[in-house]
Amino acid sequence: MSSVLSVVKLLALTTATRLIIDPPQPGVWNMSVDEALLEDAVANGIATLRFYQWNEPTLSLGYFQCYADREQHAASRQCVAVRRQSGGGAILHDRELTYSLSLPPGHPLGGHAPRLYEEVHLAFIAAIAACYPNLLQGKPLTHTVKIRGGSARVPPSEEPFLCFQRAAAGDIVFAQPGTAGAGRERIVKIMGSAQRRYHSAILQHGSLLLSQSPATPELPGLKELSGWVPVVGRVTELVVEQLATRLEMALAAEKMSAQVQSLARRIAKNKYGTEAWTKRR
Amino acid sequence: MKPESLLFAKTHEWVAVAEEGGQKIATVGLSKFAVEALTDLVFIELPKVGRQVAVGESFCEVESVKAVSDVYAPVAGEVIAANDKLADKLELLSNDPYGEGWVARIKITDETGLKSLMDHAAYQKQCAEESH
Repeated sequence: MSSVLSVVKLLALTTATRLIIDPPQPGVWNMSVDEALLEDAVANGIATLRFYQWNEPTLSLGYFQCYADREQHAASRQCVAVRRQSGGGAILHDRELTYSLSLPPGHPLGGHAPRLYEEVHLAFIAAIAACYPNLLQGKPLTHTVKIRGGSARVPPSEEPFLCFQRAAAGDIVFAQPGTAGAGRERIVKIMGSAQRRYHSAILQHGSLLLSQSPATPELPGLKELSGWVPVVGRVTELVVEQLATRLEMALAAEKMSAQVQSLARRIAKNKYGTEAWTKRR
Repeated sequence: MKPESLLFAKTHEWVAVAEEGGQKIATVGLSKFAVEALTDLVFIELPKVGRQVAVGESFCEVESVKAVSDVYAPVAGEVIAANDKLADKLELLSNDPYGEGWVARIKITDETGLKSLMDHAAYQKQCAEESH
């Protein structure tokens, strides 16, 4: 945390943004805080960048997914489930780094959904790359971590259940030339994000797969793909630095305000903590 | 419909008001600017007919590849029709946003909300500001 603070202090930037780094917490709380921060962006015009983790493997369903569809994924059937307010496929949150960015109405980046998506992902790629020199010890790279370009449209009814098995332009993928058979490049998604627009404000949250979870054995993380064991604190610190520069944010590390905590508790009680919300479809 | 003849909400919905049988009926849709900002559309949850809506209330949701967005009622009243064609032909929203891509028709019960809507010129100005 202190190293993150020192990075932040060094940056001379333009858009004031609150930085919150949370410890691992329950899924209901994590989703409630993200919604509270979005509401805070609307009510008080405050932008917030938040990093968080999960205190147990948790399945989050996309806003429009059917709860019953989780039955088709046996490995995560015993995990607790929450429903996100953002769209897309289900995510098993376990050994990952999760972030959210809440921007108030009128924010320069709020009107450019694809640009915001790409800029945040580019910051993550730069952060991962910054870790590599120490890892490689002079050996040449056999893979790249990059933004996925265009992808073929799949009818919504045919999309896989899991977000990390879906392909969308802007995803971060791990690419290894010539390892997918017939000399083709092997492409594996390691990060995706989703957005919720609310009264002209925007919440974008996403997950970087650090390593494979027993609840999603079909999804390798950075550790399995690269041999590198990511350290959450260091990755967070580098992403903060990259985001601050790329998005021209003046980041100020803060504790969550009592007002936002109170709002999150109310949202948890009335929405994310209820079966009516989780099983609404 | 030509966008120049429509009214617009700050939240990017368009409104065409017509008199039918002594009642004011608002046809509501999403502006071209808003649809383009959403990028690739995936799903729409239309409002239920008979639902009473207040000005600014979320009454419909649209999912794109990247985002879920609310559509807000620009007028107060009762939803008397929803464009069911959109469920199967979501591309109508982007191909013909001011025509076949309409979202719902609302029987206006309180005209107060109409006063806060913009004409096309003012809306264009707002879009230009949001694009910067």
